[in-house]
Amino acid sequence: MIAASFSPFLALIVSLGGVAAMGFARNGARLRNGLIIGSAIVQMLVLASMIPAVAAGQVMIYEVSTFFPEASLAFRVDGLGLTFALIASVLWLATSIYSFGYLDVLASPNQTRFQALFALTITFTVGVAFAANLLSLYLFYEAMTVATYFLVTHDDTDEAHAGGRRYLAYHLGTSIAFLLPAIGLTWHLAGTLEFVPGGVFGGLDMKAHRALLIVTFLLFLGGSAKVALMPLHGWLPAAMVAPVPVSALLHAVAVVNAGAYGILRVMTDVFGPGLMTGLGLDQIGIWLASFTVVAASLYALRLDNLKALLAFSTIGQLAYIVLGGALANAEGTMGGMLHILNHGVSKITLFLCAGAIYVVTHKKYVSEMHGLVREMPLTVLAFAVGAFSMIGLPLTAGFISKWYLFAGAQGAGSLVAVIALILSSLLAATYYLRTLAVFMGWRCGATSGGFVPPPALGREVDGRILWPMLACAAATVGLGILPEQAALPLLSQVTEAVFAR
Amino acid sequence: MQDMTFSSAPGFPILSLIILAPLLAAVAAALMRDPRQARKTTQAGAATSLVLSIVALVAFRADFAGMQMTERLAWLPSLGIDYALGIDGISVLFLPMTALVFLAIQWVAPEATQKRNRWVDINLLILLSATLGAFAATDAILFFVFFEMALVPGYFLIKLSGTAPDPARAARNYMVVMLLGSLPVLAGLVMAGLGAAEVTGQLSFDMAALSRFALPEGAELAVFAFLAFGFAIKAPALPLHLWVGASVAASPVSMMAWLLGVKLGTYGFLRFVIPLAPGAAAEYAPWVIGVEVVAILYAGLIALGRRDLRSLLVFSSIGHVGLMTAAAFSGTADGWRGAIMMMLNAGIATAGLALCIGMIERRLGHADVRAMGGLIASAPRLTAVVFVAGLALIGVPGTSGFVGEILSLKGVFDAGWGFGLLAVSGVVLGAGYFLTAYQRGFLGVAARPAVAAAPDLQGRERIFGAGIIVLIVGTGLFPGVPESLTRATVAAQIDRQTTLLADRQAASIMLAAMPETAAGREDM
Repeated sequence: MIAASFSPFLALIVSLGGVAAMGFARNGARLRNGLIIGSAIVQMLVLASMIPAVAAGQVMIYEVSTFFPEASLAFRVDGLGLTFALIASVLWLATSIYSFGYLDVLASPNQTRFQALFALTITFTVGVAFAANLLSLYLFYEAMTVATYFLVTHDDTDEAHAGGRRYLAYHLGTSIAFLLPAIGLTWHLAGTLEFVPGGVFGGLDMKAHRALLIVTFLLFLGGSAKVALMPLHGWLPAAMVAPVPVSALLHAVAVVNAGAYGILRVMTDVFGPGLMTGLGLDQIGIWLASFTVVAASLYALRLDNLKALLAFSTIGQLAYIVLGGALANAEGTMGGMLHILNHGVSKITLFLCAGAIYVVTHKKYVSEMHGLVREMPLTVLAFAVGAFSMIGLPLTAGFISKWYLFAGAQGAGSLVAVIALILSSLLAATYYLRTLAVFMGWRCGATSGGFVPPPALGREVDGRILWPMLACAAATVGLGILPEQAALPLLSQVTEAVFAR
Repeated sequence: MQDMTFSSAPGFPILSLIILAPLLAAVAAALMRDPRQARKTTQAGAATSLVLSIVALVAFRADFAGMQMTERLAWLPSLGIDYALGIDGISVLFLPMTALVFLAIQWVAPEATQKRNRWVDINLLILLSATLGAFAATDAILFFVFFEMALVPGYFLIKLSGTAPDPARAARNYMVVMLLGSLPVLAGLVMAGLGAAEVTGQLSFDMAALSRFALPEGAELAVFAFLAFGFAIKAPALPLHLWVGASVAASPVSMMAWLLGVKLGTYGFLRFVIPLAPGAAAEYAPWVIGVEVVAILYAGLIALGRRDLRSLLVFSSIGHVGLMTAAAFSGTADGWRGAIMMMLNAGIATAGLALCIGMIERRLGHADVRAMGGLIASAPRLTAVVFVAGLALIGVPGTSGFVGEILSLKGVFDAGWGFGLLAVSGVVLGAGYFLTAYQRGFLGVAARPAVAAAPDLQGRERIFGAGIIVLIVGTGLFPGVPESLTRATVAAQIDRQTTLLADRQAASIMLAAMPETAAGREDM
């Protein structure tokens, strides 16, 4: 059931209210912040209003501009897109409130520019989520790259610029070098750029074009550097020079998920499960993702910088999403899609904790955080929730997606995927629990000089930082306890459409 | 296709006015005493052209394939030469684009904003008029007249306000190369006219009439060779690009913007080379595409090593010409529309960057990124304009450069996916050279006092900057608006080529014994 609807476009432009807030910067931060929060809430409401129809199986479409007869800037909203947009919108609200506190406490300059770019990034994220065709996806990918580039370099230091250069080179470079030819080949082979559940290559002689199709798939993988699949993961640790709210947005919500989302779309709506297994593309995806899952976890084991540790954890967790899609069955794909949501919520909790710790203690290394729990008990609690979810313990969000991933791996009969899932869970348990142990004071870090309490702030940390963090932790638990009430109804529409044929 | 012409406003010579307005303004400005008034007059001339060409754009019927708003006066009836104007989907976009480029030149190019330099203003107007005339001419010889008319002001601009140590010599060199290119064009056009006359018995240089018949194969090959050689020099397309680096280095900013931004040479491929010699064009297409795909890579690699922004823009332009030419020779409607949209973007992004380079040179005395570094601190607005125009240059989606590039690539992919993949790697080099230069020249900390003290955009420059960003993003988000104007004409043109080739093949198979029917006469 397809229906034209203005709502997708509305949801997209509402977040531009945050950009418009820039104009009111001179009238005081209060008005500006109010406008940003207002746009985030309105955007959430618009998106929420779309849930009933989409959950009932409707697909909403809206065309903004015809580029040329075969392609347009157009939106097409199904369960997956709506889920992704909702996460982005909800977490934008949380991160914005958090960033008001974070930037104030650190007395960071250019806050208005920062908030405007933040809002712009969310606009483009929703654009990615709603893209109806490869061209629209590509457009919003690039727009997102440019907007987030200025966020990465926000601190204006040499280090920030170096990180920013790498960020820009990776994203623009891979998308032009790989994604653009992939789009060109798809158009050449299939004659269309639209996303069609189940794939667009149906009418093609598979044997004659086997090699070219495999090349196209590999180019798509390369073009999605945003998902940080190894060996194209180098930008992510480099982008850690950004302020914490940016890292949270980049590494948990917008950019990486956009990459993961794009890969899933390509797997389900360009190639389709039939072609994936028919050409052995599923094996390519499974091996690459499994390698990344394990290698990233191994690398994270030896890291002491908290943000870098979270970055490598992200690299591994995102590969779960790719893995889910590559399994090319309903359970695996469901697991991948769910993990966009579950990983996003859990990882942002962890990043917000890292930021809170930095604001209070000005420390970046785990080994310096010995006994943190005495000073910041709520932060450590939130961190624990996020960590448990990353490991995949029951009653947290991470458990649900991992459950589906295991089911998918078994369904596909992929031993590699099963082993990678088990191994990475064990490794994640090792480094996250070790970090928690340091926080709890049970175990000293390697170079620990003991925890020196900061000058008293009265409470733990500024409320604008604390509450969003706790809210995200609560959501992590909520998604683990009540998964059926959250995204499952929306996402099952997608798996039904893709695997119907 | 009985009637190739259509006039939406019969009797009103809008195209003549568009071409004449700058000339009249030039004459008026030459006669005026007050230099300020003269300057205002010259600006009014270009502005009039712009307004009228926008009117023509609005009145243009997108669903009609043939020439519109036509005008025709017999000029040299004995030679079959007419003063004939008209616009179709291939040329309609370039009139407002050209006028806009010149208006921007008048506003911000250093040599045009200096006081009491009336000669520059007047030459600019003549150049504008000639360019507009070349785009609007539907008579091949009239086109050539305008094409040649552009040489004179170009010569004077380089000589009067060029940047070379010996401007007279640079201007002479430019003239010689241009003549080297334009004489073969003339030869090719005359041969095409005479060849068609042998078939029809009536001498005419009307483009619609010329492209209705396929020439005998030998004559067609000669026409193809002459025209392709001439326009390849003009474009500049590899391997005939060698002159352009020196000429651009010696040019004032206005000539740089015109040489690199207004693609008369590639327009020649679409308007003359392929329609007049469709058989030869199809036969040699793989070779042309192969060479031009190599040109994309070659120019990209050279540009990667260039540190002077002028030189970088030159090689970027050669690469773009490579892609446009390859797309044009792909023989696909996608490729043609892509080439047209890329030419439009050249007028926006390449010309815009040329003018930005002019602003940088005026502030620093040079535009070498090695000696810049950190311009963002002192001139953030200028840096932002360069960034956006650069994104359009490398075809980032959401900018004016994207649709032309993707359509061209599609055309090249359809001509052979190996060509397509090679062409894409050239596009990657584009991102590489622009971002490298941008980082070195604009980002970071300003180490040199001249850079740290450089003023940001001022007055008119600000309006120029805002305008170009709006134009780039606007065209980027709504490329269908200009692109839709090209569809009907391009579809008809591709259709005509295919029919001509099919007819010829059929004729050569069935009637091989009867030489006088070599040309497929039962045309559309």
